[in-house]
Amino acid sequence: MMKFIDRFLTLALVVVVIVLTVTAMPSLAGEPLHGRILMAHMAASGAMVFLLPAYAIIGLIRMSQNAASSTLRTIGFWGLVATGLLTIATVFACMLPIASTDQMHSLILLHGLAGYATAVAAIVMIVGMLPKKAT
Amino acid sequence: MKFLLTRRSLALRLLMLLSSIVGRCVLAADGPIARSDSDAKYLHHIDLYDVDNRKITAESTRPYSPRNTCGRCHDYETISHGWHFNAFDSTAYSGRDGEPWIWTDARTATQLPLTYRDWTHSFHPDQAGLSAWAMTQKFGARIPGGGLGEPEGEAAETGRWNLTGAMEIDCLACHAVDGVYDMNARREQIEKQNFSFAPTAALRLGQVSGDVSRIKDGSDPTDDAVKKKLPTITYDARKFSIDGTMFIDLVRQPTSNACYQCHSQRTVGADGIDQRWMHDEDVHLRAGMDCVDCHRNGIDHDIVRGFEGQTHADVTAIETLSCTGCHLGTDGDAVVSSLSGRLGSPKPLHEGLPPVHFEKLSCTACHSGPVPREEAIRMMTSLAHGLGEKGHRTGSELPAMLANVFKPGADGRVHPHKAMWPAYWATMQEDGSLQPIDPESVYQWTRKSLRVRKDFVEEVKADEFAAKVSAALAAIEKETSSTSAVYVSSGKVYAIDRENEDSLRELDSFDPADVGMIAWPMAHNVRPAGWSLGVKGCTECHADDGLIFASTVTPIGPVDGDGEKITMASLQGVDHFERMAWNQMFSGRATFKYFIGGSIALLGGVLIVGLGLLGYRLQRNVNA
Repeated sequence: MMKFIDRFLTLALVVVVIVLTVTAMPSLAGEPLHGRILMAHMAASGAMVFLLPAYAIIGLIRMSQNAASSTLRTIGFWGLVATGLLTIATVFACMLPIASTDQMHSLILLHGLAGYATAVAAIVMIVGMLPKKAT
Repeated sequence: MKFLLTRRSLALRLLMLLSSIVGRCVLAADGPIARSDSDAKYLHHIDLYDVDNRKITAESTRPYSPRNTCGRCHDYETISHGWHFNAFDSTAYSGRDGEPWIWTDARTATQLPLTYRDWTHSFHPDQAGLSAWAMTQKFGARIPGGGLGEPEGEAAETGRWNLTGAMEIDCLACHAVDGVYDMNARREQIEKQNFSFAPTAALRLGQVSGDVSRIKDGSDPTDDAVKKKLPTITYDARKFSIDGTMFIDLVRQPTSNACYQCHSQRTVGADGIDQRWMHDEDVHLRAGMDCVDCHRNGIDHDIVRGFEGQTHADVTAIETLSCTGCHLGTDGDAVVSSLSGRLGSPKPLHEGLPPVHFEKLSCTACHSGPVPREEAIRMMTSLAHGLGEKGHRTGSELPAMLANVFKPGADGRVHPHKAMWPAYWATMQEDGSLQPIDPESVYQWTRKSLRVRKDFVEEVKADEFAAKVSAALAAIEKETSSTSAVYVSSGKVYAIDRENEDSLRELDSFDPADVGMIAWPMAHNVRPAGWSLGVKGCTECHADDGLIFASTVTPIGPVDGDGEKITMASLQGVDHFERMAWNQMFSGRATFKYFIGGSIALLGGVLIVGLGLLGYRLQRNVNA
């Protein structure tokens, strides 16, 4: 059962990270996100907020049980949790009536960098999950 | 002997040439342009000169000329290119859309927007067959002179210019101290077509007698009989000093009171014109500023209009004279002229406001104009409604003007606008466009058919509208030898119903630029931050009843439209379902923050446990 939940969460998380990365692409051209792209980004980020902690807890349980795991997958997992946390935390800070416009620009920049790092971590984790070739 | 004479003559000529050059150099060094270069007020005890450039004495009968008086020390030609003086110049740089000249005639239910500037709205006066003189006569009381009001050469001898005289730039309309310049006396002279006497009458330098409007067209001003009818002035001898000069009390920087003469505005509520004591004025003025603190200009009078991106002779100097420039500074903040905080302006932090708002909205969208209501309200302005003149206004006078209308401006961002729907009589051209007819001609041609004494709206009842307008259109068709006369109001186009001559039919498929809403951005009054849109949170706008999207404007003119309300969202091109979806997202935003907080806590917990686990394993490996 845990294995099924783990795989389901992994798949869902990967899909969400792909959507978030694709919808964030206009920012690479210096364009602020708006309209339907921003809406899709926000909808996916809503899913991320629930999926990532669930996936992190399941992953932690798996690791605590000394389940066999490749180094790449482990690095990818912790990278995903750490960068995901930073991604969510930066957007959370933007949602509070605290940050000024200048600070918000910095937070958004940090959010973007953390977001792309999350995508990289997800790729590392997926590569680590691929079955090794028989030698 | 002849040789000597020639040498002497040559030497004399050389001497004269030399003295001429030296004289010119001295003049150039001193220059015709005088400056005090002090912050102190320069007292103007000066000689006045009339339109014929003769010094004015108490016995003079000709009006004083600002060109010949002020222009002696100040560069009149340079000044004459300024924003306020090129309003009637089609070749002048047009800049951002502004309020048009609205030719209003309550008798013929006309409110025709006109402009010489190349704006996205309004008709060029030439399209309606309106001459520069007609425009000057109609709107002269609201412009400070200059431009087409000062025709030169042959133009000055044509039409009625040779009777009325030119309307020179009236420097003191803005530069006189409060209480010296009588704008109503000026208006009175312009209504009498005594254009050249307006500056003199406004300063109350004497008693003007005569009325050019009573002189027939084509009269020869050199004719003795006509000469007797031309206006003259009896100067008040008490105004002259012993030395023959006159003290003109003026200021370098015009006071706000001078600006209000042409730039006042009033909101109109359900009970008529809103009372002044209920309003708090523009927040900047309440803070002690004057209009010219932001709307500055140099000798070229190329006044800073105050919006971002204004094309100006000195781009750098005006960078910080817009909302963002003054409050936030500009990108080149290493230069003094780019620094924020001019005149102590506070830097707004906009805590928690996503920066995407600055891409979508102008500063004024949230901060300016009347406090947004569910429906745009009527407004009155000095230019359109002659505020400042003594009158008995109710607020329902034409032109019907509305605000706030939240629509995109030229920069793609949403700005609050004032708006109106043109109402005029026209003939339809072969290409389907509409050509407005000179409103004065319309009045003359439709007097018998409309039978309106003063006010079309009040006097023409709903049940006789079709018959009267149809008859008026028939009269216009007779005069213009056409079969395509129409009347436009509130976005509708009416023509004679050929099957029933007493009826009208509505035509459709017209260019919106001819019949639709015209709008121009507004920036005042600026409300305090606590009254800005969004101060109550995201859902002040991102809700189904968020006024910036959901408030409406209804086409209004002399004749009621179909009453169909237009939402601001539709003017902004916002997709209805997308807006609803956003609203749904924002309705749960406050709750969602708790989920995000929980998510962060959980992820933080996992990271801490993970680090603990890592430490435990490292310790175990070390021990092993």
